[in-house]
Amino acid sequence: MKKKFLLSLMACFVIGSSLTLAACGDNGNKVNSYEGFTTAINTYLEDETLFKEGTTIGNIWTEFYFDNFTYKNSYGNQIEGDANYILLNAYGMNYIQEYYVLLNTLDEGNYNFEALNNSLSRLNESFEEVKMESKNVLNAVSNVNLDIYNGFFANYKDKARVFINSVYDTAIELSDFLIDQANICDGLGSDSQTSEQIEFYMDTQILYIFDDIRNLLLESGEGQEFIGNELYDGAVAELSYYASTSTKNIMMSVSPEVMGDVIELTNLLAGEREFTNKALENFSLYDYVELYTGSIEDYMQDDVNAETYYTQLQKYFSNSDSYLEKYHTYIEVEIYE
Amino acid sequence: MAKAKTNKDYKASSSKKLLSIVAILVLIAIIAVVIVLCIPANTYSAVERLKQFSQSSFLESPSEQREYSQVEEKIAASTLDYYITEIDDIRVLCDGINDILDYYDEFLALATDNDILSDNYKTIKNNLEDAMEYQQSLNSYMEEILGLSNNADSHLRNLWIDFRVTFTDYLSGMTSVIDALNNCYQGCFEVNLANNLASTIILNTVDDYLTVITADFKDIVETDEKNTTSRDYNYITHGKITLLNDFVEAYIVDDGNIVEYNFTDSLKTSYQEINSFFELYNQENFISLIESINSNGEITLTFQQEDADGVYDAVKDFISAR
Repeated sequence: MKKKFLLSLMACFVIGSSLTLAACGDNGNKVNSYEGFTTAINTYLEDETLFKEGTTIGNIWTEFYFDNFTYKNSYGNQIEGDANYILLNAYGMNYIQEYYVLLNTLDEGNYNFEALNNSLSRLNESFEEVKMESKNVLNAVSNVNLDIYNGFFANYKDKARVFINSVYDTAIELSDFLIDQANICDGLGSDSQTSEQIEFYMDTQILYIFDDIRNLLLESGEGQEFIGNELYDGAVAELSYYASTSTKNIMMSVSPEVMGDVIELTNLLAGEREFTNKALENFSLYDYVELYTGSIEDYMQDDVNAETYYTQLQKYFSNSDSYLEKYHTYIEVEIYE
Repeated sequence: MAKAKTNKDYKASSSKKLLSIVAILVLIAIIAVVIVLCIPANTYSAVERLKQFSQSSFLESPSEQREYSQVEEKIAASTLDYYITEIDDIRVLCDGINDILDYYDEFLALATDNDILSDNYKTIKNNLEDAMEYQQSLNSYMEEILGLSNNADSHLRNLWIDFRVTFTDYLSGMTSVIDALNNCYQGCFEVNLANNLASTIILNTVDDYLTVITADFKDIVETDEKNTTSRDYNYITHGKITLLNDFVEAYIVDDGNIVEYNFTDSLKTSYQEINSFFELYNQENFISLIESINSNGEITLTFQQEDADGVYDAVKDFISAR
């Protein structure tokens, strides 16, 4: 009886301690987070191996253009690698660079920076790895053996894919933090809305769209180029379009009422995104092209829902009237006019 | 002084432990079986059943279509040729049902597993299981019909009547399935571009059409019985089936209205106008419009109330897929 009582007491103590420790976990603070991001961005820019000097891609100017991102063809000429990698990385890094500074303007409050800080840590780790691979490619340029050089490029591309995934993880953590904890969009769609809020909101929506395309190309497609595949080509076309268009600029002076309509539509797009993500979790573009040679019937032999997932992805990314296309067309036509 | 444990005591203790272990294992097995039996329906089960059925629903396969055509030819060559419109309409109706099932099939795998799915899963499951049995019976009737000699019109009529009774049960079940799928569509895709006022009105209208057509077939089953004459046969459903087929082609197979709704202000306006019908004249009157469709596919119901906004005409056009 005494033994049982002591055991129960000890169990309560252990559970209570665990809960207390969890509650007292380090949530970080705005100064450390801001400084963490500042250090990271400066480190990335000061490093001369991974990124080129400021470059323009479509309408996007960036200081985060992958350098040495080239393979060699059979003639020994250096050919730039997958442009989608470069564009996705540029937009994501630009977003982080532009909006992390808002951490320094936060009001005093009870914020939880843990997820944001953790994502930055992972990004920093990934940076170190991809930086090494960029250096290896640079060092191998003079190597006449194509296989050796292209082998280094393959490693670089692989680490770049991981880095880009980390970039978007961090960028979305940052957007979630600013929206959910810093309430940066409060007042949007009302008379008190500001142009800064509109700009942040639209930049964030485009970030989410880029992340959708990243998910398709780099996760479901495993970072391979499937030129000629309708889904791949459609998604790449949308990526290029959003990079070259001025969808955001159209929104900059809209009335609160119109902003409200756009927010409503954007929320529906976000809902659609959830179903698209479900399709992406279950459908491998890589397997569809490589394993099932583009036959949805063959894919359905292994997954009876393959056609459903593929149809959803086509509706979202690549149909001639895909949801992504409809979204920017709505803003450019219905809002602009 | 405490008594030392004897060998007998230790053996008893081992038996107790063994019994405890066995009891725990049995308990775990019972819990596992209970969990499996009581596990809530999930999307995968519903999708699997729907996909399995929609790939082999009645008159989906070329072999069934061939056999049905042969049945139609046999009846057309007999004194029962007054059934031909009905026979042809059943083919058209099954095409429409298959198109509707295909539409839901495109979405169900993505549905959110929630209470609405659970609530409707049993209806979908049970009615699809029944439908497969009815389908087997329908195939048996077709075989029997085709096995008849050319001068067995009385027997042929009886078989056709049996076929119709079973088909009506099949149709009733499919109406329930489609209604349950509609509930899932509206309730399991909460925030979604393809779940909007247009889709709600369109899919609800499909439900209404099927309910009215099923009621018509039940009427024919009651009036065209084996001991009646051809004078008692009054088939009035041709126009409704034709318009349903047109409606499904216009709004389900071509789902442009549903997909474009949130991006097109004019579509929003027109569906809000249709929706206002329910506020002005209620659901029963909407169904009455469908019930009033004559054999020529014309909506014959007229309203006595003043319809200054033209809502009644807009709804008539919508139901008629014009």
